Amino acid sequence: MKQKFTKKNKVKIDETVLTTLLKTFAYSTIGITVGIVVILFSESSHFFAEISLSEFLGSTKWTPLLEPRHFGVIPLVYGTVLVAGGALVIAVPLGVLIAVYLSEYASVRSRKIFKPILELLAGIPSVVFGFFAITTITPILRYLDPEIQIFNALSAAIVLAVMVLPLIASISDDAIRAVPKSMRDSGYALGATKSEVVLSIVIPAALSGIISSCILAFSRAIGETMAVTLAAGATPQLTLSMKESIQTITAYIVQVSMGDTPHGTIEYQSLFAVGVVLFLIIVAVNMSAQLVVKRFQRKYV
Amino acid sequence: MLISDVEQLNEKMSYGLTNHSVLQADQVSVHYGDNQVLKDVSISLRERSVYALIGPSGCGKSTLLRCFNRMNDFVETFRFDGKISFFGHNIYDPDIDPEVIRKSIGMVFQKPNPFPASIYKNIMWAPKINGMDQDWDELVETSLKQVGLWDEVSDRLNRSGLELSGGQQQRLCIARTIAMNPKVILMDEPCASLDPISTAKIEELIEQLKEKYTILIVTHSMQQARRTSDFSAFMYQGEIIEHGITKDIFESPRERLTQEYVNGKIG
Ligand SMILES: Nc1ncnc2c1ncn2[C@@H]1O[C@H](COP(=O)(O)OP(=O)(O)OP(=O)(O)O)[C@@H](O)[C@H]1O
Ligand SMILES: [Mg+2]
Repeated sequence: MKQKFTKKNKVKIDETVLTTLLKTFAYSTIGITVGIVVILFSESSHFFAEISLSEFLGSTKWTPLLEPRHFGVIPLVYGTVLVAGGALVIAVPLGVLIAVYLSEYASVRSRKIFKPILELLAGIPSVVFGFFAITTITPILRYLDPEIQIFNALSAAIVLAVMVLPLIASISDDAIRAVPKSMRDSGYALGATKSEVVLSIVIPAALSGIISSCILAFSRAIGETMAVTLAAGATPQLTLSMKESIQTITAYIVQVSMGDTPHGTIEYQSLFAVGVVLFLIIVAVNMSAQLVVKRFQRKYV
Repeated sequence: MLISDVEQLNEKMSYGLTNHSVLQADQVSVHYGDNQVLKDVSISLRERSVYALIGPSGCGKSTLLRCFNRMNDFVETFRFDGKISFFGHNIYDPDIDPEVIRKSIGMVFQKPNPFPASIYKNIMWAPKINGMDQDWDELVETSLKQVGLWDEVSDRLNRSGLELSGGQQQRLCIARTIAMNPKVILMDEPCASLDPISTAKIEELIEQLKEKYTILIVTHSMQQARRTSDFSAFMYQGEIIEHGITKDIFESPRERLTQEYVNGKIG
């Protein structure tokens, strides 16, 4: 009797140790996130002690390294949204088409070839994409239209599109494949053709997944650094033309981090301020993804 | 059953078995890969009658049912031999589009599967994509009335079909099928996931629908087959062992296997 009792206790202790261990790891990710956020905000408070919030959010000039200095974040946000939005304009239709083809039309064999290639594309380091943009995409663009500058937003948008394409295609593919067979059957049994079933049953039913793949792609494009720095250059400006150079938030962070900006200067502190902006944008985008998923989620029986 | 009813049935039967059948399977054999699941099945369905397909699990009832509207075409390993005529046309003729067949031969599934859309859209979806142009309000109303759902849902036609109860969903699926104005309605265990009251409603509905449509229903419930059908076919291991007037199949079957099955000794 006593023997049994101690045995059971030992198992229980093992359980507790394991649970505690798992908990520690799980909570440490929260700790790290909170730590980063706290540092971001506290460091940027030094920045805002010198630069007013209205200058930061209201001015349309961002010239922190040149006299006269201006600290208006709008051009950076604009540059970021311009290339990310441009990337989506290209990548969303393509990605969704690829997903529809893969899930509905591709034979098992071509699926087996396509999927790993998409995954491979997703695994290419972003600096390689940046290099690809300046050595291949930009020269082609400049050949087609000589007005295009060496560093330009269009090339950055195109290369970003290539980078987020696998994300859109594979999440949308999963969403489309998750539409139950019974849903398709009901369409076919009513005399619908394959394209009618795909267009008016399957895609609407998979819409929440497709939209959230696009939002995730947007958030990935906003956070992307190397490729846009290489392709789009470092000219923060509000221009409608994608033929010109712009600067994204991430590219500015690279520029300043790489330079020999002394610790404690205003340029240095501006890094944290724009970091906060980037962080808030990405949080907002991800939250909207969750909202969309909730709103469009269809319940299947 | 009244004598006059029986006479009427007999008359219907001889009439239908000759050349007035709506749907007729001739020597149908089906393989999934190397596995033969239907062997020389022949059966003839005539207008405005209810046929029950009974038999133990795995005997090929669903397979046969799905042959009639070519829903098996989606199974890659499916192989069909024989002939199925629909008003004299071979539905497996290479020139015939399966979609055209499915417009006239509707199907109701075991699990209710309304579209994740409004009740209204569920009804009008198929007629609309098929380019029919009609008064949608009227179509929705008549279709729902035919399945006895109108009074229950007329005030929430724009709510999702998935918000209905299982039995209501199944009737919505039947209404959606009827909206295409088919000749035949195939039902694969339509009450299998429903409660007794919803089941009774569907059975009542079948009784009414046969005034306009030919109905072929697969069921595991002997009572349901007896209550709803005019004719029954008993299948066993891919063959139709016996078919005829439902009353005969259940009360005086010619084959020993049929007798054992309807008395619950095999299954
Ligand atoms: N898609 C398929 N691929 C391969 N074999 C199949 C397929 N569908 C059915 N079968 C096989 O065909 C045989 C008949 O199946 P079917 O579904 O027609 O039986 P059933 O009489 O409807 O059974 P139940 O009463 O359980 O629904 C079974 O042996 C089954 O394993
Ligand atoms: Mg079955």
